[in-house]
Amino acid sequence: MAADKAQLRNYTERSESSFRPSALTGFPVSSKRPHGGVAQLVERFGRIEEARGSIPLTSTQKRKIARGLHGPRAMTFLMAIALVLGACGVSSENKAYSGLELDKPRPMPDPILIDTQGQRFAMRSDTQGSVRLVYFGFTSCPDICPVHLEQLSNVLARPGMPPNVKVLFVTVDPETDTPAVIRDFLNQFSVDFIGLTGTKEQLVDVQRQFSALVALAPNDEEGTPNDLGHDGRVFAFAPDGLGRTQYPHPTRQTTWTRDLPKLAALR
Amino acid sequence: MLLLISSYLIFQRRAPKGDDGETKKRRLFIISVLLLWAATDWPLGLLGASYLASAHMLQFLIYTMAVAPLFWLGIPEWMARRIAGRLRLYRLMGRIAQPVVGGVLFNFILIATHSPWAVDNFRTNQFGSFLMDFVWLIGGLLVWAPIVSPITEHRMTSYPGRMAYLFLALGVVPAVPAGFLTFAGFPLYAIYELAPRVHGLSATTDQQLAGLVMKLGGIPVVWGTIVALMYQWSEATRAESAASRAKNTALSAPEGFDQSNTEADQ
Repeated sequence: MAADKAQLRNYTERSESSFRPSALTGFPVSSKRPHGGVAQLVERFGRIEEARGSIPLTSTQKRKIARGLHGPRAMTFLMAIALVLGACGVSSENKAYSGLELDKPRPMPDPILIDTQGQRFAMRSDTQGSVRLVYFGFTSCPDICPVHLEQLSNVLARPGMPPNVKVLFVTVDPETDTPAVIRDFLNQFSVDFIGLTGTKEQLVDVQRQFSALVALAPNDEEGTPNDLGHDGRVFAFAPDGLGRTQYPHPTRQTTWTRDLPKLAALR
Repeated sequence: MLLLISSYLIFQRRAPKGDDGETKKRRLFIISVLLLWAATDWPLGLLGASYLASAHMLQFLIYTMAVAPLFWLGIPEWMARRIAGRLRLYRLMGRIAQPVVGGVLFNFILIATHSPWAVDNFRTNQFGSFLMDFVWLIGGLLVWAPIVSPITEHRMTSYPGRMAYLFLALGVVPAVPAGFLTFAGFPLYAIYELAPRVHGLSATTDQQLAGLVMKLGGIPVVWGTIVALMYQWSEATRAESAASRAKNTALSAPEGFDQSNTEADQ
């Protein structure tokens, strides 16, 4: 029991020190989760993301870990919240977007990278008038990257979706992901997706500019590098150049189809 | 699986002597257990639990349309009576073998276990996945009990009744969720929508495929059984009418009258 508590304390301390969104990003990340019938799944993948250092723990989760809030206490707490929210007439329906909403809109940075044709590409200036969906990943990613891109490819092919949506895939593994490799990878999903690369330093800087968690390949106990851990969020920017929402892994197609027309209308 | 087969074989040592058809029943039982294994284990089990809605549906189909009826057909009557007697299940088995009970419970299980809520919550963990497989098997046993229960008095007796039951319980209701799956605009199940793609099969196509498997997959079994029942019914009717004709002829013929001569004259 004591060992468990010590382990929990260690975990909490580690979490506090490792995942401090403001310290890492200087970018306010909302603790709101996308609603829908997949809360449990979101939680599960969320935990995987946290383990990979991709998504910071929300303030609620930190408090829960710190206080050991579970069982009847948690139920009472949740019921009390539900009652208070019910009394105040607050509901998730009031949310403007289904994705994670930011506390304040943030202007899109405009770094210059190299596209898959070897040309210079300014991420904001060269995509004026479009919804930009910026995603940091790598082509040998086994799960999160292909799922995100497949979802976007399916959603954008739907009738009624705005035509002015640009998907910008920025590699976090420039040594492996040459422009040709990126193009081949993206063509599996859509020939319209834009692939971008640069030097290692440039890419780290771009991730920081977008307030993304910088991708790392942490070593295991024997010193062998593990799989690359990267930010699982898609950063969305409306045509007016402001970012209001983010979309963590996993994001369902219904979420995208609700939000993309709204974002496209913000000119 | 091994435990199931070995306990079956050990139990069979106590079979009453001179019981015909034991080998056939043993084969059917072993086939049903092997099918259960194939539907539960890798690769179908893994694909159905985490990746493909179509694999999930194929599993459901194998459990309910193949494993369950073969399981019942593989159990000899004496064994079923002995087990039901020892576990005091005879009355319960009789109740659940009523067509209304079996049909309603099966279709309730079918709809409940294919709801997005159930799939997304149960399939995400090993125990939930196991529970879902187990409930499907129970559902299959329930729906087939009125037709092929090893305890003969629990079976439905009327041929048209059996055919109508099969059509209603296994042919009509499954078309409803199958329609939802086939014609839904979006993927209904988050677990399959957000899983890494298998062989480039998109989530929507996979779901449509699942709907088709649900709608069409059961047709050969259901209609095959209906055709077999129809054939049995016509054979039984023919045998009955032949018997009654023979009885009438025997009653109407005067004593000492040679029937063979009369038939030859005709």
